[in-house]
Amino acid sequence: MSATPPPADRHRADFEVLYQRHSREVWALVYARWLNADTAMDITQETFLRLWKQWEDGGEEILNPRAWLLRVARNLAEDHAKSAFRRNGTYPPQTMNGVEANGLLPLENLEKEETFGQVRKELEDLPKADREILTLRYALEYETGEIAELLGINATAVHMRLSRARQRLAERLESRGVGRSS
Amino acid sequence: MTDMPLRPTQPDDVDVLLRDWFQSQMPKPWPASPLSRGLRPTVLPFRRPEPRYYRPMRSRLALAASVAVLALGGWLIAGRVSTPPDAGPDLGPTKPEATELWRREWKQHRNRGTEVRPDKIKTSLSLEQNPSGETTIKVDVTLEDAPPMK
Repeated sequence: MSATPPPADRHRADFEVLYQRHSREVWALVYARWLNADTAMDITQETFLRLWKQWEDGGEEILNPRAWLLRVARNLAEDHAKSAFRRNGTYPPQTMNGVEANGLLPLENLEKEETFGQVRKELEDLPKADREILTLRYALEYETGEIAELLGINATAVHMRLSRARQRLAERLESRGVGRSS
Repeated sequence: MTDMPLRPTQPDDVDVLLRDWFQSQMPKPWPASPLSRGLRPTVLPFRRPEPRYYRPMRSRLALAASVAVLALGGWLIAGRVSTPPDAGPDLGPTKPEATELWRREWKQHRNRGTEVRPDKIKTSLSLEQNPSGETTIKVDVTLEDAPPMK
């Protein structure tokens, strides 16, 4: 058994490490664009396949794989808007009303789903940059500094956008009377 | 899973609500990498840019080919439409009957053994409108007789 694995295996191991480390970030940014978990996962997988293809073809060396992945994912997410599937297709019934179903809905979950529907609507109305910050904060539990580093903005801006989005959501949901009334 | 707030009126409540929402959206379990599932890219990758050194060479080749086609085409066309010896001086594009008239006149002059020099050819242009309203350009060409050639 050799001490160092052959290049193809080493690339594959590197690839798996990158996937484990950054796939959630990639997913979060694409999710923030479309607010659709399945689309975000499809684009995430495609992004990583592009990285593998780039390595296979021996193209330009990627000095910062994280930045490369995020850039490609953003581009693919934008291209998704122009794709024939999005223009002509539709979302599966499980995602109707903006809520993904987990099998049959018990009665006690209906109100929760309604609340989630309102949350989704409010998120759709937010600027994309705000949605990115919220997704990184609440889906990945990133701290302000981590979000700032990932998005290339300063921590104050992240903090300000977070608190503004939270306040806005609180006001809107309150005005709609969302939540259990009893 | 965290309990839902009754009414998310405070930012802290919104925190709980948002965390609950986003966590519900994340795929569970997280899918394995596409390679381990044997997937391939679904979209063709962008074509790799050509090496820099190739670009000027290609443009030079294209330029050389264009010049060659132009020269060859001009030479071929000139050979095909060369004026017959008794066709007379070129008058440019004209109606077929006018051309025929001109040729007849030209032959008559040749038969008479007269020399026709370019300065002896007089032309005049005029616009005419026929009864149907169609406007035509009339070209009158007259040859001034020259002394017989010796």
